[in-house]
Amino acid sequence: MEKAFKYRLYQSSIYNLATSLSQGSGLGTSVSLVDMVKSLAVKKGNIYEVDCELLDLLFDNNHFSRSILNGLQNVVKLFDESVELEKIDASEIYGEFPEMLKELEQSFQNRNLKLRFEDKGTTGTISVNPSKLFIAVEEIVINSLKFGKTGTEIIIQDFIKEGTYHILVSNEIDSSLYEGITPEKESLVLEPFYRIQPPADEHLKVSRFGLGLGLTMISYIVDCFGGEFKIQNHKSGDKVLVSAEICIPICG
Amino acid sequence: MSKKILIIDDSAVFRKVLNIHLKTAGFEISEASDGLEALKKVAETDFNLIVCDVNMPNMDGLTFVSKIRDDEKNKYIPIIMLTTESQEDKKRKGLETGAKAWLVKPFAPEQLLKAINKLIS
Repeated sequence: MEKAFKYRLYQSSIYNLATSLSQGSGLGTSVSLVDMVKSLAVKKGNIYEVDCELLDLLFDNNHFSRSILNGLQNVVKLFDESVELEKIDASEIYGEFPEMLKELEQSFQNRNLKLRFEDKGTTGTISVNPSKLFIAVEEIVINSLKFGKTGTEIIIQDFIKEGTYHILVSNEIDSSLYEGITPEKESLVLEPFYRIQPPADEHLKVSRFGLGLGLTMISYIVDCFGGEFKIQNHKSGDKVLVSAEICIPICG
Repeated sequence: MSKKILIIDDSAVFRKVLNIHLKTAGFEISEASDGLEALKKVAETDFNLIVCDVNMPNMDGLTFVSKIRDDEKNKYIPIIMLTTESQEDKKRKGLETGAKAWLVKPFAPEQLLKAINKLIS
């Protein structure tokens, strides 16, 4: 790797990490809260007197900090585990998606979004680790859940094209709020810690990785299957759609 | 009478942290979760100062600042940007747009109060 490029990449990753850690609730907020406790606490002998509201906030915020660290642990675990591949028919994988994504139902209702499966009965043998592939698909759907336009559908479909099995998740975004994945951001969003939008507290509960690592980990998983992961914007009339696509070679 | 400060940040927890900090320091606080909501609040109330995040949905902090600077009634309200953005070019852009100070999260409570008091007085 060219030196200058390598260090630019380091710089960008570290910058993204620093930004992610300081944004929203969590570790950065804890640091400020502890400073506040320190300046407002009154020492009486061996005891500090601290305003309840302040301490309650520190305790509440700790959940967010824990979620962030748990997310990092999930990333470490995933990298650490060996990825055993098995040959399986694509229809078996696709057939499991509705059940696998049931846990997210409440989150979909909260955002008035619907999940639609376009089952075309696609068949073809692929070599994957099913549980890891489910993690990747779930993470894509969580991403759609975060940015999908209220009152619209998230569509999951699969098909075979030129010897490759495709899982395509597409959703409309509210283009007055987000610009989605513009061409210059298509590769950037796969970089560790890169975020297009600041983290929203309500999504920390469903995020497996957090910290701007979700798309990076999807890319890693799909890479383990010899496949490719792409995410990009599409225009459909005046609508802006984001499509995330997992492409896996069909076994010969 | 207490001076009025508007806090703009999309994180509810962070707004609450700032709210407690500034209320304890004797200010009267209002909150908005993004630039759009903040514009409505500014139209309704005369604030002495605004503390504003940069990266927010709906309307980001820099767009909010430029809209306020174009508004005859409110163009002189001092605005402090309180953000995770630490890069010099972003800071320069923020100050050129009309922010009066640029502080980076996680904020030091004393430093924020010092900046507020300097701008309000």
